[in-house]
Amino acid sequence: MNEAQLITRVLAGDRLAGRELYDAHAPRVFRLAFSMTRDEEIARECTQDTFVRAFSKLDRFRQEAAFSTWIHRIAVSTVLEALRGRRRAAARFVGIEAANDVHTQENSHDVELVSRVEKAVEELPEIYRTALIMHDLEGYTHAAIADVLSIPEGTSKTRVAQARAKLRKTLATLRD
Amino acid sequence: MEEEHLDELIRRTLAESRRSPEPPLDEMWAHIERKAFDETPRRRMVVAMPARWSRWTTPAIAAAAALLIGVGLGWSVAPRGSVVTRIVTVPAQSVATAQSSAPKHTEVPATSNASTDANTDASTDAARTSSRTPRMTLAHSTTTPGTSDRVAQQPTVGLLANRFDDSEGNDVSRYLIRTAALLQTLPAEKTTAKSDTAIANRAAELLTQTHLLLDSRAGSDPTLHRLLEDLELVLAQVARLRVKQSGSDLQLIHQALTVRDVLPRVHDATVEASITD
Repeated sequence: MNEAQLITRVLAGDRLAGRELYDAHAPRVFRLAFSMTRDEEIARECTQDTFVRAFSKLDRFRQEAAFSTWIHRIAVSTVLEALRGRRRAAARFVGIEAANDVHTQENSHDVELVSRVEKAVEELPEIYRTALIMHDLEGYTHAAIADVLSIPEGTSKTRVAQARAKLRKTLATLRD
Repeated sequence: MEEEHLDELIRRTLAESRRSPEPPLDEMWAHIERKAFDETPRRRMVVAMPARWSRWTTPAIAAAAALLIGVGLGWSVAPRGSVVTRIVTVPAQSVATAQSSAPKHTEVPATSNASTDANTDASTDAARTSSRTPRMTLAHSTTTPGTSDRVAQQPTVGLLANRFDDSEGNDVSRYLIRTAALLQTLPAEKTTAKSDTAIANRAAELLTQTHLLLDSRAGSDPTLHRLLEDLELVLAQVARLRVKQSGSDLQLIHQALTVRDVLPRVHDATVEASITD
């Protein structure tokens, strides 16, 4: 059964069809959410919210774009919203957050390296960070990123390049 | 070469520290199934959205978009706050002076919940030929629609809003898309005076729409309101390029766009207003 048929069946209330759609896309949505958040709990909640929202609005999906693009568009939007809420909350507890950051890296092969790289990535503006993670970590093509973020492909390339340039500048001392 | 090496080091480090655990597929599905299939009736699933897009946002956006079409003047004198705009029927001659700016609202029976385009067309036609019939004008009331018999007998914009969910949500989406397009094409540095003026003029036009949306019920939604306020600031800065062209102004605008995450938020709002493919 193809995706169009699955969508039709989900709209008719078929849960099995819903599960099939979910199985096809949830792992990648979860991985992306985790890469963007570094938090399993938030990634899980975002994945759930993404699919609840998608199924709720499935009747508005006109299949002009791929379902995969559509679900990732919702996922990125959901994750970014969660991150903004988290940042607002974290701003009130900066000290605690900073302390946690150090301890969550205990299993890393190089605590300091990871800590510095992660800090530099977190400090990137959201638009650069999102494009960088999607491209360099999750392997999305620039065309896919362009579709998901509703930006031109060239903009995606520029954002990734600028994100790398900013990281290089921030982490220049790692070369030594 | 050195740069590539550093890029690779960063990428490997991130891949290591952000390696995803196995997704708890069954556990997540149980939650999704409950929310999407059990708790929410099929036609009302949209309510299961995150709280930030509150339940009344869609009708509010629809109302705002309806107002944008033809009642800017009416809004400019409207009281602020939780105002419900309702349409009252008054004799044609008493609004003769307001005819030029009269909104092209349609009269909708208060009991009508069905959304029929035919009804809209018919009543629009009626409004167009209203020299023979009572005309519509706007009045503002703090009364919630349906809370009194008198109001219940009057057609309300709220009712109109419910009938135009999708198309008018799209109007707001269109506004957001146009704004995003303008901001994305904003040059990084000062270019020709002609192109700057064109951009500034578009910004001024969008700024007007922003003001209308801020004053509308859609603007009462906290998330949308914050976004509109940020857009108002940025658009005002861009509009100023008409009278004061300076490279540093453009830098400040770009800085504001980045620091406030304006473009991603516009994108989110667009997705939220109409999640369509």
